Amino acid sequence: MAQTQVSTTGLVLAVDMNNALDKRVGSNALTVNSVSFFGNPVVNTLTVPLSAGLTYALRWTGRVSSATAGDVAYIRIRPGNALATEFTVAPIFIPTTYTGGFAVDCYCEYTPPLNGTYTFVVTLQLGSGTGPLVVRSSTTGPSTFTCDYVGM
Amino acid sequence: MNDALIARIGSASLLANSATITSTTPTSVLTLSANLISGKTYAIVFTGRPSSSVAGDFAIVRIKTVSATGTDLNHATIFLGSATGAGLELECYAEFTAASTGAVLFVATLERVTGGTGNIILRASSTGPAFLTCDYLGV
Repeated sequence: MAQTQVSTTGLVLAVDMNNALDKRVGSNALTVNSVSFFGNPVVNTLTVPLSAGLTYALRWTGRVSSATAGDVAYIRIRPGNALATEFTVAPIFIPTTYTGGFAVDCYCEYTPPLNGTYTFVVTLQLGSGTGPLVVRSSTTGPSTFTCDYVGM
Repeated sequence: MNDALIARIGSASLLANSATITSTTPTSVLTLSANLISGKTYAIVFTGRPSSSVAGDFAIVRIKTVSATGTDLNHATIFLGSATGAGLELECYAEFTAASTGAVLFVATLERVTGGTGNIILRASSTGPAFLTCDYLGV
């Protein structure tokens, strides 16, 4: 949940402390493969309520495969939509066409200027090679996009 | 209040190499017993370095509950492109919401993917441990 002001009265209430200490703001786990693609599609989306001036950790973890061995793919975390300037990028080399995909982790931090609801997206794009690419996900191997308050 | 301040529920570390693994069946390499609260969600993270004696093998790390034959919470695949004895860095992230209050056993397993020929080892030492951690996410 969103972080809250600890006290409005000068008294620190246990319930307020618990709210302030909540780390997990939101998450979105996918349990089925993405479509197979060549472009720069959104592969996960997360909408969360954030508080101005606080810092949040955004992390995507999952497995990427390609139908062509030797491809390079880019996982990016962006604000809003697939065309926005990315916060960060995680390149991955895909050595073979193994359909289980290869693990990649993409991490960044964000400090919102205003209180409000923010949407973040994860995109996957072919960097070199011919693809097509797939984000591999299943119930026993989900890909996960999370937003956690880092406590500052 | 103090309980609410604690994010780390437990961790286990491996300070010496695992045994050699050639099986394509998940083999336990790290276990962690954590006392959890019903309805709360926890992050379970493995960090470590699998290696193979043969370049080109694949290995899979899985995070499971109960035992090496338990249910997968998640898995991560790595391509071992060289036979370096140090292994290659791999992280596997999973989340778990406790169905009841009490101790839960988490197991990190390692296996060689079918078709490989090398000896798979989880590399660990006192200056390069492998970890399995459990953190409360506050929800």
